[in-house]
Amino acid sequence: MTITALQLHLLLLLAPVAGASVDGVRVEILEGAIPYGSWDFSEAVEVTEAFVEPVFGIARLPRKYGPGGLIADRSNPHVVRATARVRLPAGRHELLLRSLNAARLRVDGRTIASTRFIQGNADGHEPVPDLPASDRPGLRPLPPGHVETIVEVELEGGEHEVVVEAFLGGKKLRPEVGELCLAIASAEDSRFRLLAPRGPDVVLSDAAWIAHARDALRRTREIERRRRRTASAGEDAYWHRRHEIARRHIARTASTAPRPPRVSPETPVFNDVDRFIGARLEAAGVEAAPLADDFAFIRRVSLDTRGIVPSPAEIETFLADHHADRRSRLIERMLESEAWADHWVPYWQDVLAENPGILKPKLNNTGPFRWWIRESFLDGKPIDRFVTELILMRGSRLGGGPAGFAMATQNDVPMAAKAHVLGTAFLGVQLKCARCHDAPHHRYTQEELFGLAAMLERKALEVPKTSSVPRTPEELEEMLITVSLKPGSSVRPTWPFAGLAGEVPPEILRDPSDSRERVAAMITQPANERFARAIANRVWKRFMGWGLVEPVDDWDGEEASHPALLEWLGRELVASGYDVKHIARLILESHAYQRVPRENARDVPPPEERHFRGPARRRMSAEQLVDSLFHAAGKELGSEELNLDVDARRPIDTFLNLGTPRRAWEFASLSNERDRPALSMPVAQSIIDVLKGFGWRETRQDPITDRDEALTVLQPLVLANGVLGQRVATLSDDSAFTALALRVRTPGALVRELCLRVLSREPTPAELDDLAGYLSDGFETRVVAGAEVADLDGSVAPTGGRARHAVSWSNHLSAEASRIKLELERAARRGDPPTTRLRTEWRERAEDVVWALINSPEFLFVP
Amino acid sequence: MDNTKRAPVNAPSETRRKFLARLAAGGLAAPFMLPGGDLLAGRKRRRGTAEHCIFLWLGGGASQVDTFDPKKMGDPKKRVAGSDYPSIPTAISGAHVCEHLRRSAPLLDRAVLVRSVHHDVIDEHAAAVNRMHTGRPTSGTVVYPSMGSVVSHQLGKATKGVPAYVVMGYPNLTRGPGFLGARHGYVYLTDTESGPDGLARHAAVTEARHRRRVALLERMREGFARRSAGDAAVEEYVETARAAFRLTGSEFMSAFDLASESSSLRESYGSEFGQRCLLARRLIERGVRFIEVAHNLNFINGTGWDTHNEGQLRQHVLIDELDRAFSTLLLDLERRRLLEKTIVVISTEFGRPSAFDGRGGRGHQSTAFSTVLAGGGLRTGQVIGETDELSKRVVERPVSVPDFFATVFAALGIDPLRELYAGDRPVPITDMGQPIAELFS
Repeated sequence: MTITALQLHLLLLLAPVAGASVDGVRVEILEGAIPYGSWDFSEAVEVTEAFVEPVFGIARLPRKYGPGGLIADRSNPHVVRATARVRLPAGRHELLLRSLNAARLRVDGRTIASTRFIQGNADGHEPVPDLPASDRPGLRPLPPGHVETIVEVELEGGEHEVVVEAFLGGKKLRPEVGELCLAIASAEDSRFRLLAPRGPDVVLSDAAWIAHARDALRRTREIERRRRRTASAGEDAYWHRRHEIARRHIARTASTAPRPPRVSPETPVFNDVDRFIGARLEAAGVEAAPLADDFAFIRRVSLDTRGIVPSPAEIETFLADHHADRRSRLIERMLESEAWADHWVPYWQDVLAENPGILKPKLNNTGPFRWWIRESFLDGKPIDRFVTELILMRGSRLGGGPAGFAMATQNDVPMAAKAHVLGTAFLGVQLKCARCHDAPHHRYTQEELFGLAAMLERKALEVPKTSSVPRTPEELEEMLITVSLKPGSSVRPTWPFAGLAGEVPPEILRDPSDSRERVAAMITQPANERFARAIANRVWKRFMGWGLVEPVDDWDGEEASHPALLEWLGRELVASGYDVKHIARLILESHAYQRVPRENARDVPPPEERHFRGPARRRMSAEQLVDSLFHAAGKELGSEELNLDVDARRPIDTFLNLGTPRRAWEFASLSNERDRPALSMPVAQSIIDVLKGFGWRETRQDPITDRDEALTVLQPLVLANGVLGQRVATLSDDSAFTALALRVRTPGALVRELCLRVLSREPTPAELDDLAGYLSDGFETRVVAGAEVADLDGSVAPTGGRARHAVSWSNHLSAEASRIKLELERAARRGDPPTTRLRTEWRERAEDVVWALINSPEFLFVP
Repeated sequence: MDNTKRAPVNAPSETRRKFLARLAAGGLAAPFMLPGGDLLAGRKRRRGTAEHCIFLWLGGGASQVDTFDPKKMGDPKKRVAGSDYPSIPTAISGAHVCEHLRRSAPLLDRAVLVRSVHHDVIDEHAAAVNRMHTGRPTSGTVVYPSMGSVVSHQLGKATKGVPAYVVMGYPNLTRGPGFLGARHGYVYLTDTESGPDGLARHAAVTEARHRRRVALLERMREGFARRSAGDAAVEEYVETARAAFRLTGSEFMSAFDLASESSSLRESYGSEFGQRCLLARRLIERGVRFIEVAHNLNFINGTGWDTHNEGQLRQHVLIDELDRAFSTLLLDLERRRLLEKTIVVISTEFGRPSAFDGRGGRGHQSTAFSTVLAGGGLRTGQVIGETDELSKRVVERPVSVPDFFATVFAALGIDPLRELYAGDRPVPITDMGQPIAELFS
């Protein structure tokens, strides 16, 4: 469907408008009952949002936020309108209008160019369209699925009113802005430049557009942050009141609450946490492990808060800080990082079974509520509010709001699946077996699960045949399970955990008749101490390797290793206004956390032997590993966009666009059950192979907390030989290792910097000798003079994910689509091209050193 | 983890451990299991002697009337229902197949044509692919393992230092281990020349350079292991990494060196799919248990076996490629005395109707379709099941998906009713499937 129309209408545009120009392009979103296929919609629309962009180039629209600051959907279709008064020199100009869906250009009130409306419902059997090459050198090529039109105009000098409008979505079409832009060229300057109020601006080249898109992401994120804050202001008052109630509850129950015990002067104490831990160590006659050194500490705290290793600059800053509270100051910097949110998203994706699919619904697909999780942690949302929003399931379903949690495609009782998630996530109650029967070793019955599910459903629920065990009573007797509910039985909304929380204080309910809100209130009210402790225990385990209660998602019959500490942490959480960062800070600042690990997280001792001499040693999670490798190399993941409907011609409930991942948690199953080469995404696949190898789940059909991270032969192999490891170790032009190799003065300095970058520490004397010796031959002559730098962001050396192609669902059943993708697979396997600025022989040895550092098991184990 | 034991996947809680210990002590362990075995205690258990399985996957839904269950000729242009190609006789008396299977036809005394497989998923490929890989409908609470993962779990690898389960095709969930855990997952490759990503040295790294790097790495490892002395997890990782590196230089990796085969044999196997089949034989020889070989040559007709619309036009090329590879594989295995102990399966997610669509292709049909079983010590040379005049319905000897799975498992000596454990939930290997009795002597 790619059409290039070159219209050479010579239009004489007179009457430049007078008046002051705004410094920017005003972008408005128009929503309403807009008929698709026609520009005649003025009656039906209203401007719902507006913001300012520097140029006529829209790479990303900010998300829409509804009540409570939740991601909301816009009308489908909606229209984006960009308006500016533009100062233009007199004379002939060419105007280039590019869009994904239909767009039109108006100048001084006259429509002078437009592009076609997308035709949806593609069945996959179309031919792969040609991607037109431009005759303008340096012009960013037309993106797949887009169309463009060029008009020639003759203008009088002065200010003109320029308006670009474009449709997003339409009936059965996924709304997508694509790369909407207006550029201008003239006889004097034949390069197309994006138009801005002051006239022609940056050249529309690959590199400039990529930089523009990156800025746009930053700008729109900032707009989103402000809008979330505004949109949630109404909610804030309610939550202040709730947290007041919570603090009163804490005050009321203070007399019976545990206090940090006294410990002997020899016992190391940084904060109250250490008193609880220290008292136990003393009683057991077990010695605390020594404090970890600064290098180990910064690596650990960086991984635990941001999911990535620290940069050399961060290490230097930390080492140069001579304040007495330098570790606390470091912790504070880390907690402030946006990556705090990136590190919590994958955790909750697992625990809440977030499971979006990019190609048609499969079992237990949910909406991509990953975006709401990230925003919640970005905004420091109190965890009681987070859980309440989750349970109320409002906002956008497929655009990333918590309504996406409500979905469980192909599941016979989605709300039963959600009840199971909520039980394990926030109450330590395992309801898995109760889906089909009453289990022998779990307290809760099927009726109780369905009672909770019915509360979430807001009406009585029937037990379907598929959620039962089709056996005779005699057989069931033998199996030691009970099926007390017959298929077809109806279960009324009933709160099953009276033992955990009784009645809800009426002042916290806004709609007492809403049983779903009651579930949220029952779980998050301060009198439900299990909730606060379950959260505190989760945070504890994340940083300390073992939970105070294990397993963290199934407390039935389990003892806490430190009951008083657990209770104290729970109360701290409530008193802080349910601030997870407060609990994180308490743990990270403790001596206990900052000690050397002496035991391994893999082997969980029974509670009476779980002393916490220090944290238990963990391996990096799959996401920490992948993100840290790319972070150390200073490279982007380089993945394809996770989108199989590139030309946006299918409905959003069958094809989701999950975007181009910047962090490992953003991946999802590539869904190639069809085994079709045309549907493959080879770069994404090479990253997913590593993620999967280390315990990440490509689909999360059920909630888990502890992943299957069993050691396999493939783990060391995929890192050592796989495409991802090869890309990280290759000294390509976009690698930070290459920049280092070009900059340093001695092999020793290079080894030191590489060690800091990869392992967050200085090399040992033996390593320094060994590795610097390996790099000394040819070091002086390593740089090739005058070598050309490949632009990996551009078109010089595109790797698989960055390569431009027009394969989309609409044409993937053509033979050509398979051939294109097979070629991209081969390109992806080759990896990133090495730089030509370093002599091959020496460069390969430098890569060997990087390879040895990233493959050392030291990289994988959190120190 | 050995999932045939009743151990939860996650660290078992004290309560559960106590509970299970009590069961075991009281001799109650057996009744805790689903009573599948007891239900069928009176019936004869079929046990085959095959040791390996090569599972040829015709992704997209292969048309049975254009391959192994030919009917009267139709006409795509006039939209007259029926086969698109004339049929030819085979080595099974009275049984015909499509003329594009001319190399395989005389060898079908080594095979069984199962013409009466059926299920109820048609509109969605992914769900049908899942059905034909796991043998089960999806459930809201259990992720079922693929056939390959079950074989890996039940039989393990035949020799040390090789993976038990290899996929030549795209990785996806339906091929995965489900509740059996990552250990019973597959190693996959999408290109025979480069082999599985990770197992072989990257193409850009020469042998000499690899040795150089590994020497550097070994010194880094040693230093770290020394500094982490006493940490069993580190020690195990280091040991596993060393063993893994030995694997990459091993006999196993030589399997991927197809160039060491005679050029006449390679030619006889044909293009990429054939080369995958040749590689499958070489992997069998090295001890791999289960190999799924995807026939996804979509660059030939665009649609692969999902022959809607114009996809039908070049379907005969796909069939020809299949015929070439399958027939060569049978003879090659036989020559090496591997056919008796290797069951070769041809399977697909569903079949296609004998009627044509508006553009001369075919839609989906799950009420009746064909699979093929060859070798594996089965009583071959038979046709199982029969469909009606236009292959719309099964008229005789229906074979359910669980029965089909049970047959393959039984051929491999695996009890299809044995219980596996999803956490602490018992799940029989097949959904009460019965092996096709006629195939076992």
